[in-house]
Amino acid sequence: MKSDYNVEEIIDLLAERTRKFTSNESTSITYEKANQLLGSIMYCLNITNNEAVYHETVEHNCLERLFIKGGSMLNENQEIREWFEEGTNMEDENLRDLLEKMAESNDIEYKIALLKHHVNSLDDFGILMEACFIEDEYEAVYKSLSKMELEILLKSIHLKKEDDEILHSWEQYLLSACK
Amino acid sequence: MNDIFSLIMVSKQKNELENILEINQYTCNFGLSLNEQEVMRLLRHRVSCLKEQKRVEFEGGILELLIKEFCNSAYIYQDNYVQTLEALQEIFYICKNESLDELSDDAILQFMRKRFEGKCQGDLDYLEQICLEDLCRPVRFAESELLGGVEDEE
Repeated sequence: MKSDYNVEEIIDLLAERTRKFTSNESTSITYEKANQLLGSIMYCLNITNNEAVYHETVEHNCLERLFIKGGSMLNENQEIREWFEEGTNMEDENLRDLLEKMAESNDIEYKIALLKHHVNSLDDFGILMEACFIEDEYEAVYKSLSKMELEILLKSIHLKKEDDEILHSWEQYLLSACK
Repeated sequence: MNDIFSLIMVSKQKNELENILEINQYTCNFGLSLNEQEVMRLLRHRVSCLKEQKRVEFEGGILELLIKEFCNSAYIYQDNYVQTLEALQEIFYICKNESLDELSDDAILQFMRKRFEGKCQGDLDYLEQICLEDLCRPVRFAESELLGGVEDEE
Protein backbone atom coordinates (compact mmCIF):
# COMPACT_ATOMS: atom_id res chain seq x y z
CA MET A 1 0.00 0.00 0.00
CA LYS A 2 1.41 3.34 -1.03
CA SER A 3 0.63 6.12 1.41
CA ASP A 4 3.78 8.20 1.88
CA TYR A 5 4.15 10.12 -1.36
CA ASN A 6 7.29 12.04 -2.21
CA VAL A 7 6.56 15.64 -1.22
CA GLU A 8 8.84 17.05 -3.93
CA GLU A 9 6.88 15.22 -6.62
CA ILE A 10 3.58 16.42 -5.21
CA ILE A 11 4.89 19.99 -5.23
CA ASP A 12 5.96 19.53 -8.85
CA LEU A 13 2.48 18.25 -9.72
CA LEU A 14 0.96 21.23 -7.92
CA ALA A 15 3.26 23.62 -9.79
CA GLU A 16 2.26 22.00 -13.08
CA ARG A 17 -1.47 22.25 -12.25
CA THR A 18 -0.96 25.88 -11.24
CA ARG A 19 0.82 26.65 -14.49
CA LYS A 20 -2.04 25.19 -16.49
CA PHE A 21 -4.69 26.82 -14.32
CA THR A 22 -3.23 30.30 -14.80
CA SER A 23 -2.27 29.63 -18.44
CA ASN A 24 1.28 30.60 -17.45
CA GLU A 25 0.18 34.16 -16.79
CA SER A 26 0.72 34.23 -13.08
CA THR A 27 3.56 32.95 -10.94
CA SER A 28 1.40 32.81 -7.82
CA ILE A 29 -2.07 31.78 -6.69
CA THR A 30 -4.07 32.21 -3.51
CA TYR A 31 -3.91 29.65 -0.70
CA GLU A 32 -7.57 28.94 -1.39
CA LYS A 33 -6.93 28.00 -5.01
CA ALA A 34 -3.76 26.07 -4.13
CA ASN A 35 -5.74 24.08 -1.58
CA GLN A 36 -8.35 23.23 -4.21
CA LEU A 37 -5.71 22.09 -6.70
CA LEU A 38 -3.84 20.13 -4.06
CA GLY A 39 -7.11 18.53 -2.99
CA SER A 40 -7.82 17.35 -6.52
CA ILE A 41 -4.28 15.95 -6.82
CA MET A 42 -4.49 14.07 -3.52
CA TYR A 43 -7.94 12.79 -4.40
CA CYS A 44 -6.66 11.36 -7.68
CA LEU A 45 -3.62 9.85 -5.96
CA ASN A 46 -5.64 8.28 -3.17
CA ILE A 47 -7.96 6.57 -5.64
CA THR A 48 -4.98 4.58 -6.86
CA ASN A 49 -3.90 3.79 -3.31
CA ASN A 50 -4.06 0.03 -3.48
CA GLU A 51 -1.38 -2.54 -4.15
CA ALA A 52 -2.72 -3.89 -7.45
CA VAL A 53 -3.20 -0.53 -9.15
CA TYR A 54 0.06 0.75 -7.75
CA HIS A 55 2.11 -2.08 -9.29
CA GLU A 56 0.17 -1.99 -12.52
CA THR A 57 0.64 1.73 -12.98
CA VAL A 58 3.92 2.75 -11.51
CA GLU A 59 6.47 0.69 -13.34
CA HIS A 60 8.77 3.68 -13.32
CA ASN A 61 7.76 4.72 -9.80
CA CYS A 62 6.54 8.05 -11.12
CA LEU A 63 3.96 9.88 -9.08
CA GLU A 64 2.66 11.68 -12.14
CA ARG A 65 1.63 8.36 -13.68
CA LEU A 66 -0.18 7.50 -10.50
CA PHE A 67 -1.92 10.86 -10.57
CA ILE A 68 -2.97 10.43 -14.18
CA LYS A 69 -4.23 6.94 -13.47
CA GLY A 70 -6.16 8.32 -10.50
CA GLY A 71 -7.69 10.99 -12.70
CA SER A 72 -8.69 8.36 -15.20
CA MET A 73 -10.27 6.16 -12.53
CA LEU A 74 -12.02 9.16 -11.04
CA ASN A 75 -13.50 9.98 -14.41
CA GLU A 76 -14.69 6.44 -14.91
CA ASN A 77 -16.44 6.58 -11.56
CA GLN A 78 -18.00 9.95 -12.18
CA GLU A 79 -19.05 9.29 -15.77
CA ILE A 80 -16.43 11.75 -16.95
CA ARG A 81 -18.27 15.01 -16.82
CA GLU A 82 -15.00 16.90 -16.89
CA TRP A 83 -11.38 16.03 -17.34
CA PHE A 84 -10.61 16.12 -13.63
CA GLU A 85 -12.93 18.54 -11.96
CA GLU A 86 -14.77 21.78 -12.64
CA GLY A 87 -12.11 23.81 -10.87
CA THR A 88 -9.54 23.04 -13.55
CA ASN A 89 -11.42 24.73 -16.36
CA MET A 90 -9.55 27.73 -17.67
CA GLU A 91 -10.51 31.22 -16.53
CA ASP A 92 -12.92 32.83 -19.03
CA GLU A 93 -10.47 35.53 -20.00
CA ASN A 94 -7.65 33.05 -20.60
CA LEU A 95 -9.96 30.89 -22.69
CA ARG A 96 -10.98 33.90 -24.77
CA ASP A 97 -7.33 34.81 -25.38
CA LEU A 98 -6.54 31.24 -26.39
CA LEU A 99 -9.54 31.12 -28.72
CA GLU A 100 -8.37 34.31 -30.42
CA LYS A 101 -4.81 33.03 -30.80
CA MET A 102 -5.92 29.72 -32.27
CA ALA A 103 -8.59 31.17 -34.52
CA GLU A 104 -6.04 33.53 -36.07
CA SER A 105 -3.61 30.74 -36.90
CA ASN A 106 -3.62 28.32 -39.82
CA ASP A 107 -0.65 26.38 -38.47
CA ILE A 108 -2.08 23.08 -37.26
CA GLU A 109 1.05 22.15 -35.30
CA TYR A 110 0.98 25.46 -33.45
CA LYS A 111 -2.72 25.06 -32.65
CA ILE A 112 -2.20 21.52 -31.35
CA ALA A 113 0.74 22.70 -29.24
CA LEU A 114 -1.46 25.42 -27.70
CA LEU A 115 -4.23 22.91 -27.11
CA LYS A 116 -1.94 20.46 -25.35
CA HIS A 117 -0.15 23.14 -23.38
CA HIS A 118 -3.16 25.01 -22.02
CA VAL A 119 -6.16 22.72 -21.93
CA ASN A 120 -6.92 20.88 -18.76
CA SER A 121 -10.56 19.90 -19.03
CA LEU A 122 -12.95 18.25 -21.45
CA ASP A 123 -15.13 21.36 -21.43
CA ASP A 124 -12.32 23.60 -22.65
CA PHE A 125 -11.18 20.94 -25.13
CA GLY A 126 -14.68 20.77 -26.64
CA ILE A 127 -15.00 24.54 -26.95
CA LEU A 128 -11.65 24.84 -28.73
CA MET A 129 -12.27 21.85 -31.03
CA GLU A 130 -15.59 23.31 -32.07
CA ALA A 131 -14.31 26.83 -32.66
CA CYS A 132 -10.76 26.45 -33.95
CA PHE A 133 -10.41 23.22 -35.91
CA ILE A 134 -11.83 22.07 -39.23
CA GLU A 135 -12.58 18.49 -40.20
CA ASP A 136 -9.30 18.03 -42.07
CA GLU A 137 -7.44 18.81 -38.86
CA TYR A 138 -9.27 16.43 -36.52
CA GLU A 139 -7.07 13.45 -37.32
CA ALA A 140 -3.89 15.35 -36.43
CA VAL A 141 -5.41 16.48 -33.12
CA TYR A 142 -6.47 12.96 -32.15
CA LYS A 143 -3.09 11.54 -33.13
CA SER A 144 -1.48 14.00 -30.71
CA LEU A 145 -3.54 12.73 -27.76
CA SER A 146 -2.41 9.95 -25.46
CA LYS A 147 -4.23 6.62 -25.29
CA MET A 148 -5.71 7.58 -21.96
CA GLU A 149 -6.88 10.97 -23.22
CA LEU A 150 -8.53 9.33 -26.23
CA GLU A 151 -10.26 6.81 -23.97
CA ILE A 152 -11.62 9.56 -21.74
CA LEU A 153 -12.77 11.52 -24.75
CA LEU A 154 -14.47 8.52 -26.34
CA LYS A 155 -16.21 7.63 -23.12
CA SER A 156 -17.58 11.14 -22.73
CA ILE A 157 -18.86 11.08 -26.31
CA HIS A 158 -20.56 7.73 -25.72
CA LEU A 159 -22.23 9.16 -22.63
CA LYS A 160 -23.50 12.13 -24.61
CA LYS A 161 -24.81 9.77 -27.27
CA GLU A 162 -26.60 7.66 -24.67
CA ASP A 163 -28.24 10.84 -23.34
CA ASP A 164 -29.42 11.63 -26.91
CA GLU A 165 -27.40 14.82 -26.97
CA ILE A 166 -26.44 16.23 -30.37
CA LEU A 167 -22.84 15.39 -31.22
CA HIS A 168 -20.47 17.93 -32.75
CA SER A 169 -18.68 17.08 -35.98
CA TRP A 170 -15.36 16.51 -34.14
CA GLU A 171 -17.11 14.03 -31.85
CA GLN A 172 -18.82 12.20 -34.70
CA TYR A 173 -15.47 12.04 -36.51
CA LEU A 174 -13.79 10.33 -33.55
CA LEU A 175 -16.66 7.86 -33.14
CA SER A 176 -16.59 6.83 -36.77
CA ALA A 177 -12.78 6.63 -36.78
CA CYS A 178 -12.88 4.24 -33.84
CA LYS A 179 -15.52 1.92 -35.28
CA MET B 1 -2.04 23.30 5.70
CA ASN B 2 -1.18 26.90 4.83
CA ASP B 3 2.20 26.61 6.56
CA ILE B 4 3.08 23.96 3.96
CA PHE B 5 2.86 26.63 1.27
CA SER B 6 5.33 28.83 3.16
CA LEU B 7 7.68 25.85 3.44
CA ILE B 8 7.42 25.26 -0.30
CA MET B 9 8.55 28.84 -0.86
CA VAL B 10 11.50 28.47 1.49
CA SER B 11 12.59 25.18 -0.10
CA LYS B 12 12.78 26.79 -3.54
CA GLN B 13 14.98 29.68 -2.41
CA LYS B 14 18.32 28.03 -3.18
CA ASN B 15 17.64 27.73 -6.91
CA GLU B 16 16.30 31.25 -7.05
CA LEU B 17 19.33 32.65 -5.29
CA GLU B 18 21.55 31.43 -8.13
CA ASN B 19 19.17 32.66 -10.82
CA ILE B 20 18.93 36.14 -9.33
CA LEU B 21 22.68 36.45 -8.84
CA GLU B 22 23.05 35.66 -12.55
CA ILE B 23 20.85 38.65 -13.43
CA ASN B 24 23.56 40.89 -11.95
CA GLN B 25 25.40 40.47 -15.24
CA TYR B 26 22.57 42.37 -16.93
CA THR B 27 21.71 44.88 -14.20
CA CYS B 28 25.32 45.98 -13.74
CA ASN B 29 24.86 47.80 -17.04
CA PHE B 30 22.61 50.14 -15.07
CA GLY B 31 24.93 50.38 -12.06
CA LEU B 32 22.88 47.92 -10.00
CA SER B 33 23.82 44.62 -8.42
CA LEU B 34 22.85 42.41 -5.51
CA ASN B 35 25.12 40.37 -3.31
CA GLU B 36 24.15 36.99 -1.83
CA GLN B 37 23.01 38.50 1.47
CA GLU B 38 20.81 41.06 -0.24
CA VAL B 39 19.19 38.42 -2.45
CA MET B 40 18.47 36.26 0.60
CA ARG B 41 16.95 39.30 2.31
CA LEU B 42 14.71 39.89 -0.71
CA LEU B 43 13.71 36.23 -0.91
CA ARG B 44 12.84 36.16 2.80
CA HIS B 45 10.87 39.34 2.36
CA ARG B 46 9.02 37.75 -0.56
CA VAL B 47 8.08 34.75 1.56
CA SER B 48 6.68 37.02 4.27
CA CYS B 49 4.76 39.09 1.66
CA LEU B 50 3.27 35.92 0.19
CA LYS B 51 2.35 34.68 3.65
CA GLU B 52 0.77 37.98 4.51
CA GLN B 53 -1.24 38.01 1.28
CA LYS B 54 -2.04 34.29 1.64
CA ARG B 55 -0.50 33.34 -1.69
CA VAL B 56 1.79 30.57 -2.90
CA GLU B 57 4.30 30.97 -5.73
CA PHE B 58 6.00 28.53 -8.11
CA GLU B 59 8.27 28.69 -11.13
CA GLY B 60 10.90 31.32 -10.60
CA GLY B 61 8.87 33.87 -8.72
CA ILE B 62 8.18 37.50 -9.33
CA LEU B 63 11.48 38.90 -8.03
CA GLU B 64 13.37 38.11 -11.24
CA LEU B 65 10.66 39.75 -13.33
CA LEU B 66 10.59 42.83 -11.09
CA ILE B 67 14.35 43.23 -11.37
CA LYS B 68 14.27 42.95 -15.16
CA GLU B 69 11.35 45.37 -15.45
CA PHE B 70 12.67 48.05 -13.11
CA CYS B 71 16.47 47.87 -13.36
CA ASN B 72 16.70 50.69 -15.91
CA SER B 73 14.46 53.03 -13.93
CA ALA B 74 15.65 56.59 -13.48
CA TYR B 75 14.58 56.45 -9.83
CA ILE B 76 16.46 53.35 -8.75
CA TYR B 77 20.16 53.49 -7.83
CA GLN B 78 22.41 51.16 -5.88
CA ASP B 79 21.68 52.77 -2.48
CA ASN B 80 17.90 52.32 -2.68
CA TYR B 81 17.88 49.19 -4.89
CA VAL B 82 17.09 46.57 -2.23
CA GLN B 83 14.54 48.69 -0.34
CA THR B 84 12.78 49.56 -3.61
CA LEU B 85 12.61 45.93 -4.69
CA GLU B 86 11.16 44.98 -1.30
CA ALA B 87 8.46 47.61 -1.63
CA LEU B 88 7.73 46.66 -5.25
CA GLN B 89 7.29 43.00 -4.28
CA GLU B 90 4.87 44.02 -1.57
CA ILE B 91 2.85 46.26 -3.90
CA PHE B 92 2.79 43.57 -6.58
CA TYR B 93 1.24 40.90 -4.35
CA ILE B 94 -1.26 43.37 -2.88
CA CYS B 95 -2.30 44.19 -6.46
CA LYS B 96 -2.66 40.49 -7.34
CA ASN B 97 -5.06 39.99 -4.47
CA GLU B 98 -6.88 43.27 -4.84
CA SER B 99 -7.43 42.65 -8.56
CA LEU B 100 -8.96 39.28 -7.64
CA ASP B 101 -6.33 37.50 -9.76
CA GLU B 102 -8.02 38.83 -12.88
CA LEU B 103 -4.86 40.53 -14.14
CA SER B 104 -1.78 38.72 -15.44
CA ASP B 105 1.65 39.30 -13.88
CA ASP B 106 2.78 41.12 -17.02
CA ALA B 107 -0.18 43.49 -16.99
CA ILE B 108 0.47 44.46 -13.37
CA LEU B 109 4.23 44.80 -13.87
CA GLN B 110 3.83 47.01 -16.92
CA PHE B 111 1.30 49.22 -15.17
CA MET B 112 3.55 49.55 -12.11
CA ARG B 113 6.58 50.39 -14.22
CA LYS B 114 4.73 53.00 -16.27
CA ARG B 115 3.29 54.78 -13.23
CA PHE B 116 6.54 54.50 -11.23
CA GLU B 117 8.44 56.33 -13.96
CA GLY B 118 5.60 58.74 -14.78
CA LYS B 119 3.02 60.01 -12.36
CA CYS B 120 4.73 58.69 -9.20
CA GLN B 121 8.28 59.79 -10.06
CA GLY B 122 9.69 56.99 -7.94
CA ASP B 123 7.38 57.52 -4.94
CA LEU B 124 6.47 54.01 -3.73
CA ASP B 125 3.64 55.03 -1.38
CA TYR B 126 2.02 56.93 -4.21
CA LEU B 127 2.55 53.94 -6.51
CA GLU B 128 0.68 51.64 -4.14
CA GLN B 129 -2.18 54.13 -3.90
CA ILE B 130 -2.37 54.56 -7.68
CA CYS B 131 -2.22 50.83 -8.33
CA LEU B 132 -5.12 50.20 -6.01
CA GLU B 133 -7.16 53.11 -7.36
CA ASP B 134 -6.45 52.98 -11.08
CA LEU B 135 -5.70 49.30 -11.63
CA CYS B 136 -7.51 47.19 -9.05
CA ARG B 137 -10.60 49.26 -8.38
CA PRO B 138 -11.93 49.04 -11.96
CA VAL B 139 -11.46 45.25 -11.88
CA ARG B 140 -13.36 44.94 -8.61
CA PHE B 141 -16.02 47.34 -9.87
CA ALA B 142 -16.50 45.31 -13.06
CA GLU B 143 -16.67 42.12 -11.01
CA SER B 144 -19.32 43.54 -8.66
CA GLU B 145 -21.33 44.77 -11.64
CA LEU B 146 -21.18 41.32 -13.19
CA LEU B 147 -22.43 39.85 -9.95
CA GLY B 148 -25.25 42.39 -9.92
CA GLY B 149 -23.81 44.29 -6.97
CA VAL B 150 -24.44 48.01 -6.43
CA GLU B 151 -21.39 50.25 -6.21
CA ASP B 152 -21.45 52.84 -3.46
CA GLU B 153 -21.47 56.26 -5.13
CA GLU B 154 -19.79 58.09 -2.25
